[in-house]
Amino acid sequence: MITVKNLSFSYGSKRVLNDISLELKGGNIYGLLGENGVGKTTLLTLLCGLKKPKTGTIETDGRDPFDRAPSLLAEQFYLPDEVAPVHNTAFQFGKEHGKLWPTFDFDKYLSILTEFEVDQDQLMDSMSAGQLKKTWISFALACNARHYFMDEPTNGLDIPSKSQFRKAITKYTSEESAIIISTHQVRDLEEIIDPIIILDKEAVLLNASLETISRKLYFDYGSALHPESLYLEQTPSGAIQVYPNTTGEESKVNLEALFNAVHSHKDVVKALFQ
Amino acid sequence: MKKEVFSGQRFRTYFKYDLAQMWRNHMKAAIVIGLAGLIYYIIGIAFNATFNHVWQAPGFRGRMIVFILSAVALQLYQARTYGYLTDRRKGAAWLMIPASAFEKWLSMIIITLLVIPVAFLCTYAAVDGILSLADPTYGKVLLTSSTQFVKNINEALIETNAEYNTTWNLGVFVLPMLVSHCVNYLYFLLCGICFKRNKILWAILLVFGISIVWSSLAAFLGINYSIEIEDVEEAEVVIRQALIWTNILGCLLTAALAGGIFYRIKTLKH
Repeated sequence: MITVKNLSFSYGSKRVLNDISLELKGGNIYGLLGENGVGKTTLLTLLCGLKKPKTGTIETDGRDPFDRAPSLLAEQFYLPDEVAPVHNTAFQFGKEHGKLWPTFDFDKYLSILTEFEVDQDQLMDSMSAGQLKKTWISFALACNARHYFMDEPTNGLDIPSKSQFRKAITKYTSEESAIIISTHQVRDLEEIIDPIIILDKEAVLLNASLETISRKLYFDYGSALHPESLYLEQTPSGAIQVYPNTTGEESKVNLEALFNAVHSHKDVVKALFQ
Repeated sequence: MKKEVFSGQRFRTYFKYDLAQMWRNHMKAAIVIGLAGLIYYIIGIAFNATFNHVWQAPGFRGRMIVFILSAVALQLYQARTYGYLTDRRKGAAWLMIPASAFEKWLSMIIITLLVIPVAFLCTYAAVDGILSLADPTYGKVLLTSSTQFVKNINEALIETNAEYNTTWNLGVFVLPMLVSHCVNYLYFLLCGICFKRNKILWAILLVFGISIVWSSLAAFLGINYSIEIEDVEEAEVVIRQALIWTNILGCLLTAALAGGIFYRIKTLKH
């Protein structure tokens, strides 16, 4: 389990995260949402130990990630938005780089590469951005890590690859893994991410499972307008409205509508989920 | 807890990986530097054939200068071998490799101080040997010529000892040379993992900067380096003391640079 307590971080005088507390448990694929510049990438890099918190603490199974203890590094994988080009073929890269992770499964790596239709014999630094990303995703999943930190993993992927990514994430990760995915492409991942964390400037606006969200908020796809709606969006087929769920009736959560509703009524949503 | 700092098996795995990366990413540059002797030979032959109309390989002095320049180029190149650590993408990937900071540091030090110089010397010596065998005008290999050169110096020292009642031997210069090797390589390595761009240029400018600051400070404090020496016996004492201080200072600098590299690895953020 990853425990974040009163975490603050700033770049010089510019504060990015302020007094954030979170608990991230295994067996979940967390969707980390937020506007540009609210600190999603910063939070991910803090969680995996690439940065040191200014104040507050982060503990991953009782260990400080910034210590970068090999035992912890072997259990986690950070996939950045822009992955590194490597002067090596995908095949050889897996063979050499994989030896560094004790739980790396080379056959699994090759299987995922095949599913992603990546040429194993192509040099990675001559691959397209999408192909390179898929190679790194394949590698990450083959590491059999317990904690995954993925920053915009579907950026640069073509439409079939996004679907393959969703399948791969559910197929190739352990049930105990905690996967934290930061994304703007909510439609790409809304089928797999649960719970949802919405970050605002310096704070967490929402951290709840889809079940809880559905219990507290109602997503109405009908055409009858509700004046109590926190968010209303006209669509070609009618409208999407989000309003407090007073009947207990379940509805399918629309992540874009949720995000907009949370942002336009921060205090109402915070009070609802407290 | 100890295993988190160092594990023999994990270090072996990481070291092999680091070596493979070094070979893959810096092989071309290392080969070019290692082949400097061959490049000089080709230029020398071409020059002599064109302007003097003779097939004549370059002489020992020129070859020795090229070898020294190549060795200097290799030292400067250390600023680039691990320079990728400051790159956000490559550096982050490197930091996330499951090996301890100590293991990564140790591998870096071994590769920088031993593997790269030895590989360079072997490449240089091999090319030199092949040219010596292939071309009768090339003369003896650098190692043989250098050995002769060292013998000459040694003989001169023996003569000096006999004449002036001194006790010089070549052994006293070995440690300063080793220390200087370590300081130079580690300095450029540290600069490489600290500066984000123009690593070699900044490393050189920093040396100039330090020299200027030190000279100004010495002038301001009235430090005087000039020593009046009356005779050869006194000169020996002064030089030996200077060598001891050079060695002590060099060892301290080596330790400080190695410590600085470890600190940089330990606190590197992306």
